[in-house]
Amino acid sequence: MEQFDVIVIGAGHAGIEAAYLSSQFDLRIGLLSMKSVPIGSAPCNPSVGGVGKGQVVREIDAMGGLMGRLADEAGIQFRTLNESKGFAVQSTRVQIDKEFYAQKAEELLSNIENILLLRDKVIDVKRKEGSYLIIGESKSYLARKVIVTVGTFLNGKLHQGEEQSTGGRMGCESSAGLDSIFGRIQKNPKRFKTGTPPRIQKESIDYNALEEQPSDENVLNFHYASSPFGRKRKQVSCYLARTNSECMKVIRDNKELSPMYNGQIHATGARYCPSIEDKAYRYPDKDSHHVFIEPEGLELDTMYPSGISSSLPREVQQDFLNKINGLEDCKVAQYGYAVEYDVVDTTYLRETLEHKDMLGLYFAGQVNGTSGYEEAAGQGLVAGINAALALKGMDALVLERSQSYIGVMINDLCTNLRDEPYRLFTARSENRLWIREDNAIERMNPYRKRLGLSLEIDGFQDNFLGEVNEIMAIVDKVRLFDISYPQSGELSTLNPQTLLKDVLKQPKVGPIGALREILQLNGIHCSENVIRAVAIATKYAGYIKRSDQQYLKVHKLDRSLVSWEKICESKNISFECKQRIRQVRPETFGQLRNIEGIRPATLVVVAAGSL
Amino acid sequence: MSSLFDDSTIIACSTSQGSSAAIAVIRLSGFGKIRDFQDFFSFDLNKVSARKMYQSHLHDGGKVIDDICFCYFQAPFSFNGENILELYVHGNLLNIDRVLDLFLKSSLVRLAQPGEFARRALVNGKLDLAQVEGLDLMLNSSSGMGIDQGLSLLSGSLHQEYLDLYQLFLDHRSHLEVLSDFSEDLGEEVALESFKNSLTALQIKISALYQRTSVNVDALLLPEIVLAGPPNSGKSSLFNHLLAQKRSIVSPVAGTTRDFVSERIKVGDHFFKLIDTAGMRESEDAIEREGIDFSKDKLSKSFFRVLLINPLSFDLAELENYLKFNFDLVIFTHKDVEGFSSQIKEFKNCISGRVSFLEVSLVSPDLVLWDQLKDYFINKINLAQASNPVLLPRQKRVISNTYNVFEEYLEICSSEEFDLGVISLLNTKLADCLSELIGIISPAEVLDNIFSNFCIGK
Repeated sequence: MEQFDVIVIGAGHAGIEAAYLSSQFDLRIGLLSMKSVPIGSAPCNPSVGGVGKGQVVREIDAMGGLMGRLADEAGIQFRTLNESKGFAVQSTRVQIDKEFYAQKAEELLSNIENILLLRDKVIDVKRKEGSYLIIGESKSYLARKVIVTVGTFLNGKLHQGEEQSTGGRMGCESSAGLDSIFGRIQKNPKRFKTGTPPRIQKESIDYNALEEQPSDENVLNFHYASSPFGRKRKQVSCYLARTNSECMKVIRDNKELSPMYNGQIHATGARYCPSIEDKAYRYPDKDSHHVFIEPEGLELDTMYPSGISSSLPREVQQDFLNKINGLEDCKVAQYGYAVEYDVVDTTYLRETLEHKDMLGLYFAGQVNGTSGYEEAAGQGLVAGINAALALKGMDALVLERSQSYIGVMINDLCTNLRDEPYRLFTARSENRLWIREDNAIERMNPYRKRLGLSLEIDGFQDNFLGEVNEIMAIVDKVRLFDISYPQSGELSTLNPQTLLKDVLKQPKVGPIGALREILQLNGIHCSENVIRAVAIATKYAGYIKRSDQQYLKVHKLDRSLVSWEKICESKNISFECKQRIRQVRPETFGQLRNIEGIRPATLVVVAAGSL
Repeated sequence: MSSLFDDSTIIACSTSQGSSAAIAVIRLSGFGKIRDFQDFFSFDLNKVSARKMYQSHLHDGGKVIDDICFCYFQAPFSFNGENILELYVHGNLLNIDRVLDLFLKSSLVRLAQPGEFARRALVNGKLDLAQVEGLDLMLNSSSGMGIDQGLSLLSGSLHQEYLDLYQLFLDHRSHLEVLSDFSEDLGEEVALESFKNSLTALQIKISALYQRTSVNVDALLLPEIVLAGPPNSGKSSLFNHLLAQKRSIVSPVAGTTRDFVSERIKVGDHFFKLIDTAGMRESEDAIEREGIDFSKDKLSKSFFRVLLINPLSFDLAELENYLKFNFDLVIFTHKDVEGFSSQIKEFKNCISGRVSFLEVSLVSPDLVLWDQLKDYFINKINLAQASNPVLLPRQKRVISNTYNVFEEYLEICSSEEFDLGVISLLNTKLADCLSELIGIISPAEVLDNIFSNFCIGK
């Protein structure tokens, strides 16, 4: 029987990060994947990044992960979201060439000596003498640590109108339910649901009727070693279409055929990622919804219409699509569908993602009830690192929520029972002024250092931070009259005595452009990433200090312990609130406060009682 | 805090212990079974049902010490959510002590801390923080208005307004989050517009609430009427007339009233504190000087300001210095003295349209004078009440803090540099203020402060 230090079950975005990270330690890794499922595939939207998620990709990159590197390789359209709303909420999103992305992922992983790609379907996982015995259809394997990243494949069930089939996604079989594989693992009492839109044939769309969104050449690549603005693939455009009243009428008229609404699907979907049916039925007065038409790849013949995932019958999907301007004659390559699946109860996980009752077993990705590739990858990274650290006898690594979006997500998952798929966005963080894209290396480097590795990335980060500190020292001490600076524009109107750091804080000065120009004029050369890190840190310095103080104050109360059993006995709390509280089982006031739908009056009663 | 308050059974006399009265109410709270107290009662406590009145002797050993009535309130149907036993005993102060001692020496109970009954109501969710503050206001306020607002707080209606405001804020905050995280799905313009609309709605509410705190609270809880004016203008005469008793030494020597003298008077439903100040006049005399500074201070904090002037011995040029203090009423005295009517004309020209005035003789004051003044006082207090002011210092402070943070928030939201990171920083700060208003953040000091105002037994 083959023996491994770590076996990762599932080779999606979580699985490949887990395998890649643990392979950086001197360990033997097995990456198990079903035969028909490509490695690192993107079965839904063809993009990486997005609001809050772009930050995650940079955090993964700064921890030595794969996602940023693959996205740069396969990127065919780059955008900065929230560009006009301040640096803290700005995020990068890259449209990827799906096939190329998966191809690169497989190429990269198969070239790593201590990772073995295993094609097999897992039937059972058992404890055996402090290790785990994994029984596959063709072979059995023994592993000291197991990382489970099985996505939507546990008891997966697909819906398209009345048609139902088992499977983790279209064209792939599903694996058995959690119960039969992991007898002792607590499931989330709710099954979750996700959906995907129909895919449209490229040449059947009338692009003249749509608004074009070209790739932005000023967007920085994700990966630290990529040239900042270099592009590996040909750049193409996305297009914006809109639904209209005729289109929405088709959907509304066929409500009884929607598995989501006729009772066929019992599982819960994410409110933050609504299907077109949700939009139609929940907002009966709104007919115009954005539909982003995104290319799935350079060679692939399909476009992905973002915002209209649907599990309606095929002919209804075709019908409503044809009502949309520009899609009148469109041909569908693959119809949309919904999938419902089992997820684990993540409150049984430690923040290392190790299961509290089944030590040595880690869970990451969509099986934990998250949605999105980035969320999955972030968890895979943490599970992979911790499995390796445990094997090496080193201290576990927990990412704090004040330092990273990955930390926010894992903390949310482990402390609160989720009742719908979890998606990251900036509002989940209390500290978004600090956890930005531009300072990802600064934020993650202390964690990376704790891995005790000295690979190429570790050397890079030391140099990078050294450079940041040098420039920062200049910005802190130097006054305008000490240096050359532009004699026209906003800067020329300032008092020459002004310190450079105060110059960058001026409301009318764009800090990045100004710093870049000044450094150039004075013959100081440094990378765009360094300039951004220094300029934005300087701009926000005062606010961040304030934010820290505020954070401390609020968190004193938020950390105070509450007893949810006692709260549920109280006669002064509404029935609905108690229901939510029983589901979530909050242990601290902060968790209670974060429960969606909790009433202020409830918080008041608890705050008074918990003093 | 935890050392002072535990959940043992507490006892205290809940009625006034200032002097002996026919009946006193002694309250026990937080016991397990009423039968535990059987030793003290002649009545069989097994037969007691809740919320019914019974008669019994109280025993100390074999000795009867009082003949009382009692009533049992069973948890959670009591005002603080605990089992409560109320004893209606004879109100002789010695008797009250004897009954308290009877229970205290049994070690079944301990004496309550100030405000402890109400504190338990808070902990048991029977009252919220605002209601406890309302109770405090109701029990300790000396104005009808304070009692009204106390009741409004106690019934939860003012608190409901705060909760509504908080809800409005949460709504606004969700628009902010849509703008930062979901504007692509919704469309940039739509997201921005609904954000701005929700901001305006919030602005209207917060400004309206802030208006209600602009009234001087101290001035309303026991409103002060201050009589001010130069020496010998007749302040003490008026003071005495109003009290219909001689309190200040009335002498013709300027500067006789060195300090202010005050007395409580009742006008309509309202209590006022009437204050006779020292003469406002530059003085070489150090003692007198102190009195003068003090009266200026008193003036600025008072509710109703009366300026008295004897036009016969007053330099018109000085009038402007006095008017800086925003008087509500000017009274020209010495109407009975010769030359008054010719002297008064210029004064009238100077102040007419700026402040109301009366002309009186204090040597033989007219009975109508009292009615006239009464109307002035009551009109002003009615006017103040019409603006529905928030009276409690804690709430007032939090509201004004909220308002200031909101002003800064508005500025950031409308600045050219529309930075959602910074905006949400201030939004979080605003959330803290509003949480505090509805009582979510209620640091122990706030509670200590409130409960320290309570008498034992409330």
